[in-house]
Amino acid sequence: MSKVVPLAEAARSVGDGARIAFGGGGGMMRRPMSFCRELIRQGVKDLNVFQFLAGLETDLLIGARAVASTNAAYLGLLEYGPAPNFSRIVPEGSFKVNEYSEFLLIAVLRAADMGIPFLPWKTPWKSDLAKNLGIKTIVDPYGGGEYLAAPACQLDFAVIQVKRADQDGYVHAPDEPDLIYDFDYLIARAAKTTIVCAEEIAPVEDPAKVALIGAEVTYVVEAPGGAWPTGMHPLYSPDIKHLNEVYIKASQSGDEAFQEYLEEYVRNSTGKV
Amino acid sequence: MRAPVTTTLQEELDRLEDGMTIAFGGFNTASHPMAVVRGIVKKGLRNLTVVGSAISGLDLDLLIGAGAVNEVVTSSVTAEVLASVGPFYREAAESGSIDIWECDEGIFYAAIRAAGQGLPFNPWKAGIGTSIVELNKKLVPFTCPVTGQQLIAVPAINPDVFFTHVERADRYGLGQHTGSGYGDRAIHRASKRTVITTEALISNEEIRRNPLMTSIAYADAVVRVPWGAHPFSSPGCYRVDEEFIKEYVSVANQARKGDRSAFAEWLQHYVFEPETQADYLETLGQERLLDLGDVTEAIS
Amino acid sequence: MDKDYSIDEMMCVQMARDIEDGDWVNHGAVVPLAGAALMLAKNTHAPNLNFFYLGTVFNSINPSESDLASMLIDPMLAYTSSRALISHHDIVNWTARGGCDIQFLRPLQVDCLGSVNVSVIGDPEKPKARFHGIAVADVMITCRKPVLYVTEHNHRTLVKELSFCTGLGRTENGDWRRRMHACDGPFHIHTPLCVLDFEPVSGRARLHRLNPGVSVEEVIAKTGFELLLPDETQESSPPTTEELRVLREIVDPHATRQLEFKETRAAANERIEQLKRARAERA
Repeated sequence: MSKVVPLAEAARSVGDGARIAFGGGGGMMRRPMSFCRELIRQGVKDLNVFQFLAGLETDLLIGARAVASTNAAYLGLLEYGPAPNFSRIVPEGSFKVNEYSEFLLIAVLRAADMGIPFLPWKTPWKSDLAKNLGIKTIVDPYGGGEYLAAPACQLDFAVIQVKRADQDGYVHAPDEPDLIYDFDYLIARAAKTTIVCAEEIAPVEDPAKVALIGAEVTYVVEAPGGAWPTGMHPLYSPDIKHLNEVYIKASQSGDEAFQEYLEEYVRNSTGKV
Repeated sequence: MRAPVTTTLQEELDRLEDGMTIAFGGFNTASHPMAVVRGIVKKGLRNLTVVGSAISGLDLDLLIGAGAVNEVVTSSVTAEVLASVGPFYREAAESGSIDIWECDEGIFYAAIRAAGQGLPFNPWKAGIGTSIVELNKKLVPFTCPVTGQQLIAVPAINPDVFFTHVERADRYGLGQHTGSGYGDRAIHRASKRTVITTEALISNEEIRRNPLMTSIAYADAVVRVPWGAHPFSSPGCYRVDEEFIKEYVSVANQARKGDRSAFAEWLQHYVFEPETQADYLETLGQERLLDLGDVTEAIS
Repeated sequence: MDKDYSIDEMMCVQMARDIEDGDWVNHGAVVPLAGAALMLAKNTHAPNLNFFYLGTVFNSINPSESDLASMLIDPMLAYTSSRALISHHDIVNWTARGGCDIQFLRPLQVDCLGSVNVSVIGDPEKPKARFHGIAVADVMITCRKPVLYVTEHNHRTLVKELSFCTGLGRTENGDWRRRMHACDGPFHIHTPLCVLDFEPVSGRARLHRLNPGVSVEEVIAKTGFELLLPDETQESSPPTTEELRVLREIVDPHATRQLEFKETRAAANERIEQLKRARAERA
């Protein structure tokens, strides 16, 4: 039974308030942008967004006022600069910023992946980060040391953009893996519902080259160019011209300018990208 | 410039000492580093804590039969249809002459993962209410601070050295298994030192062509040992030598029943007499090796 | 008794019927009776079932070979015919997350609550016999429907008290298990005589269905613990012609499932040896 559905149908499954993780790694790489644009078109609200290095996808959703909380170890465009909508809107206090340390974010995802309720963890011990997240502690029954009890991350959705998947959701491992490519598979396994947006839907011939098995995947969406304006290695590079000359400019100018951006690049472009 | 880490089997064996915790990779009837195992028996090491794969094979059994082992950590020692339980493992467990760190595969991985993550323990769900927890005093039941459910704490197991056999590796210690690599990645991360024996030493360029197949990243040492897993299989290279294993099981069972003479002869013939891997292979004979190397068709 | 099927075929069919279409099954390679039940279900009423093949060499998903015994003889087949390879610890994670619907387990001993022993016979400190001990503890907690089976129904297999508890069975009122956030526990116990289920409140094993021609008295006499009896005893429906055809011709043509029965083990072994020899000769 094929798991392939249209983009709109997959996005419809995401309800308001969902705890949703997005894949992607480097500053402008492999972010499931088409999917996020569809979420905005459908007016989904109050998302609790999870990422390791939250980037353009999160910034776009913040600009569209669709976010209730961010949960990440970093939020920005890395070498391309800060996240402009985030910078502009965060002083309002209209959404919650749950800051994690890098290792802690991975710990909560790993615990979910391992099917255990928590992982004892060392970092960030005695930091306000841990306190703000309400992380409990536990004593090591062997050595007596105190550790954080990093609770398994409860994720409703994970959305990733990949190069190739088959119709049953088997994802082909990348021939040239880029930064934190495996983060995508970790959130895919940890989440209840996983949506794979694939540049192409084609069979995976070599069973040794499967990065994610179909059983972990709920929906497969054919989304060529779906990472735009971020890049998809090695198919296409990030569209830095659009980022600098259009997106950042609009995001920095204010709500009205950004609404215009959304009209042109999201609401009027019916899933073309 | 990166320095190669190629070395000889003897150099690695020389680093081993009595009382160490040594892990052996592979799974069931595949990829156990048998040239290393024979080397350890020959060296006469004692009081080892041996850590097998989540489902170990007769690699551990031979070590137990040779008197090298104090404690064994694995969920089982088996060769499936050929011997559902390793004969020496069975005898030692039944007589209480070695300690068995009771566990299940999940508990095994929890211990290995804890070590791999630099943690003192990992929690695990299964085991509560079973005899495993009663017998293995190292497993500590506790209440989860997050959910309130009953869990067990599994302490980290951090082998001093991990040996496993792969099909390909380069001289920088990047090893690639044919197949999914069993639990070797996890044990590698948990161990202080990893040594891989490999069927083939290939170029770094070839390794880079298929980067995700690198299952052992940066082993501390790599030794080229063709037929290094014999009598177990090396996927894609040679099959399990069932005749050999049956012979072993037979002499081991005789020893278990009180007569160690056949096992002593077996040890002499296959372990003590051959001075090198080449000698060992000559003992097995060309015809047998050529036959085992056929890994193509199955019954149609 | 006049039957056109054997006990091993009957058990295989009854076990296959526990699988629902679409289930995820974990299959350890060397229990051919369970393997045959799994493939029988896949080739009859459960075409959409998926399974992890925990082979002797490869761990993979959905090998396309209908005859799983062929992969015992040639493990490379698991690589070439499978949908994907997967590492062993990923399978363990998957199971811990509750992804496994069914796993068949054959314990040495099982008690009235479905707790099982696969480890030792006799005093655990100085056991009379030591066995393999794999896989079971986790499965009993995280698998939605662990299905137990024994190939002998007597006081040595269905015992009053286990020598060693490897895997936890049902609990009274499901209490312990709820506190562990675990699944319900074992689903059925299949034996050569009957199928047992579990009374939900007490957690105790109960006679569910009798094989045709078997009496309640015989079952009670041969069971080492006190068995609950239902108000009305049902009879298991025998294998259909189609089920037998699929089993005999497609799924297990060499009857490797008979490896799991004491009486037929030697003959089954010999057949497998012959197959291996024939394969080697063909090479």
